[in-house]
Amino acid sequence: MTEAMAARIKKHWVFVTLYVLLSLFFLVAATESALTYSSVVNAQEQVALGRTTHSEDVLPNGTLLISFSMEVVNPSRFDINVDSVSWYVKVYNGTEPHRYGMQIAVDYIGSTEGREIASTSTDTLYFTAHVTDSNILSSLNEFINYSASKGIVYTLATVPFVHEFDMIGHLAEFERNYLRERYLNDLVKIDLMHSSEGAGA
Amino acid sequence: MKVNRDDIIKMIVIALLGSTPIAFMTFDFMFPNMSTPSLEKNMMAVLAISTLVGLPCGYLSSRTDMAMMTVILYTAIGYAFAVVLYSAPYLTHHIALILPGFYYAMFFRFTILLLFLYILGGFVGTVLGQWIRDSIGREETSLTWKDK
Repeated sequence: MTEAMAARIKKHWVFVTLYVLLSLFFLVAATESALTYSSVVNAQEQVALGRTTHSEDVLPNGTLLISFSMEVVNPSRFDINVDSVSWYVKVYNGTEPHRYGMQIAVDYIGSTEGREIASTSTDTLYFTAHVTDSNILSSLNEFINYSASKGIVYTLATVPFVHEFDMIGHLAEFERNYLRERYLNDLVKIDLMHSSEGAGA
Repeated sequence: MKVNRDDIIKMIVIALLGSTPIAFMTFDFMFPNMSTPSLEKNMMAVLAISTLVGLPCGYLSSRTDMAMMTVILYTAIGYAFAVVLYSAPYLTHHIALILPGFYYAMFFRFTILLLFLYILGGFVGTVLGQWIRDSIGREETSLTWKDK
């Protein structure tokens, strides 16, 4: 830098300082924003469903008790606000393409419950259903009897129940109600699905 | 007119300083829900900041052609910096980018029009910067003569 330039900077030091501060402000803002974006994309990769457990028992009064639990692993630095969680228990009869799914139990958690999965934590969601509906129980017994006629022996507790789980949530408090730029909504949306049939459980 | 070493150094320094707002505004236009602070895709705000960024080009450079070249240069550097910011997750976390062609095509499709705003705002800022410098110069001259 020549003397002429140094003298010029000295003369306009207020203006030059303001310009440098403006530039630094945007540099920090841009870096911070890019790191946030980076963490969000990384969170999308990291958030996953963990261990599942399920049990089916017949109570002395003949009621079928079905329990299910699912771990949601959130190693990211963002909390996950749960919008909805659906749990279905089904029994599939027949083979593709003539496959009939009989719904045994269902449970749902909505956004009004304000459920949250904290950052860097693992949360376990528990579901329990008492199946007392005589129509469902008689359908299950028909299924057991039909299977027995084909040489497959089931009891009410050992019927091949399929647990289907779907959780939709969003990361932290990022805006996600864009009508045109849907990619922004998808970027912060968490959609996790699980089927015990697919998992071979 | 000849371009000397001082002119080039000044142009590069101003271009580097001016590139960060351009990079931020471009990134913010892609991810308004993630950037801090956000202009929320307000084009008037983009034009206003572009004008503000263009001011020093006119204020610090006495040559209009060099000032305009500086505007184009900082816009180009800033846009390139924005591409780097846009690629941040794939650079920092080693996440595999599926369909990179589509990913970058989306960026260019969304932000390419902003370049015109940056350059337009920069030129307006340059003119304003020159006007401010001339006004200050005139005032200094008049004050100096009054003293004598």
